[in-house]
Amino acid sequence: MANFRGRGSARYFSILPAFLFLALLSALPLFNLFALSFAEVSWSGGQSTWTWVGLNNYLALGSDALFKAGILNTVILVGVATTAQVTIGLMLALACSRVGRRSRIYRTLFLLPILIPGIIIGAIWRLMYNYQFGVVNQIIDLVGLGPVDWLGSSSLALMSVIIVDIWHWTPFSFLLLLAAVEALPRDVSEAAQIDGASKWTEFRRISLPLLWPAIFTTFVFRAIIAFKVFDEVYLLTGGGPGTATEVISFTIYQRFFTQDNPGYGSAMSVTVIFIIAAVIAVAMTRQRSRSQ
Amino acid sequence: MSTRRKQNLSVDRALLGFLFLAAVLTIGPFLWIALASFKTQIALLMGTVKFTPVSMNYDEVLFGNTSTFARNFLNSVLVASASTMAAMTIGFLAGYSLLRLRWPAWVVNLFLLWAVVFNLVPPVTLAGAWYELFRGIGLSNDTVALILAHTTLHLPMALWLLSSFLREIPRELEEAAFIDGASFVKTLWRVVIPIMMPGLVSTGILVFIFSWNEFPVALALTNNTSATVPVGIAKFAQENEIKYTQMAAASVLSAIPALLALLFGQRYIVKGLTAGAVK
Repeated sequence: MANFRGRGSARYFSILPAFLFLALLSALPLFNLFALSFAEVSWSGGQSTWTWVGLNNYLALGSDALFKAGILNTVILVGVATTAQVTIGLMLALACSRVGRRSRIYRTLFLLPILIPGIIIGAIWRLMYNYQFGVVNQIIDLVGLGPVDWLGSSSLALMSVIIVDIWHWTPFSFLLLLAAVEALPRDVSEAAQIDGASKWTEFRRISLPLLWPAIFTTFVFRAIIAFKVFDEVYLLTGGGPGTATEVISFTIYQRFFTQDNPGYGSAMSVTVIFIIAAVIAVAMTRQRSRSQ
Repeated sequence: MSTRRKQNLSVDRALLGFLFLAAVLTIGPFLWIALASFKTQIALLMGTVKFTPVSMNYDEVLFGNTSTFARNFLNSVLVASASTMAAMTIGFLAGYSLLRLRWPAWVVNLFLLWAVVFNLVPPVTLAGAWYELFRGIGLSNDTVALILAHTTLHLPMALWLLSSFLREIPRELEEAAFIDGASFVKTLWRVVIPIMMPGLVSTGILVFIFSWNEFPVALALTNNTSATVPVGIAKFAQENEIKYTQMAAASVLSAIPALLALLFGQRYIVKGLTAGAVK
């Protein structure tokens, strides 16, 4: 029996491939990215030369209007879209749980947007938002409004992108929250009803506090994914008009690849990774101190 | 009591109405794009409601001389299948090893930390790092490079999900198999894998779909011949005169894996998505 858990060489062989991927394809490239952020790369005859530039790449971030716009727009998008998704998702989850079996078809349908490629979502909405023939303008035309240039107007473009993100990811919030709603104890709400509590009081005083951890988790989960938004923006607006829908993943891509400036792009990537890590660390400590 | 029941009935009716509205808003865009894919460019531009469906968009996208879509589709099938197989195999072995083979806590924590950190980092930041790495070893624009990148990208998810399914399996079964003289591989193959089949299916479907959908890394690591479906679709939007109806047809075709997964595996998808988030 003693030999069972150790299992000799099998123990090492089973973990080796995962370790190689961890070391060679994630730790090494990230380390390389870090080193690259202190350099400038130039190409001549298929050979790259690194010139060390110290903190210059990082210092340049401060005066980069595109970087500032990218951060600001991403924060707005994450805040607005995530709040809307969790709110609507919770309403849908409560509704589905209440009507029970009759909601089965809806539970299936709501999965669809989660599984479709983000780039296709971008393509679909780009056609629907089209100024000339898009269905969105056709519908508001029925009530005598429009046409509106949803993606071309700098005051509306970010909102249009946020609407697409809400449409795309509300189902995911719904799914996570549905699992939590279905796990609520029934006897507590029955007791509250017998005591004469109204539906609203029961929800606010009993269900909502019980659901709070799940709501927090869903919010954090969604915010992390929303921060990476790239695909839809790439197809809908390409960051425009101007910098109206510039999001941070897009800025990194442009600096790194479109402008072929790996050193500067790396410095931006490293900064973003640090910002995310800091935000997560703060959120976790807050949550921990609250639950204690 | 009867007034209360009546009240409940009308509340249910309102909730069903709300759900119906949400379903229409969810499905509407897909139906609209599917309709658009059967229109001629002129019919779409004119906004005609009644039209004669044509299949020319699909013909052009699949068999047209200038279209790369068929190639993109094959590339996507190859990349998604290969990286799913790799991530599943490696993730399963590592998950089993970490859970059952008495590794010290720091090793387990290292992999756990990796899975968490990896989920925080935007894929675009990794795309740059991989691009430099694969260019350095002469694999730039190669399908192998994208398969390796997708495997790395989805390995933490596979490891995480498979571990959570493995944890539900009682240890005693494996110990019994060992006492009966089964080898390590035989124990996994005959005992562990059959029991956790539903978990494997859940993980496999999700990893495949995620790889099929992945865009920024594929964009960075491929060229015209190795491009996957999302990269191909993105190209439609960058042409001077956008062929809207063909873009619609290509979009419908790209949604095939998602639709198949939804038709045949929705139970598994729900299981996978919620297990990944809740645990």
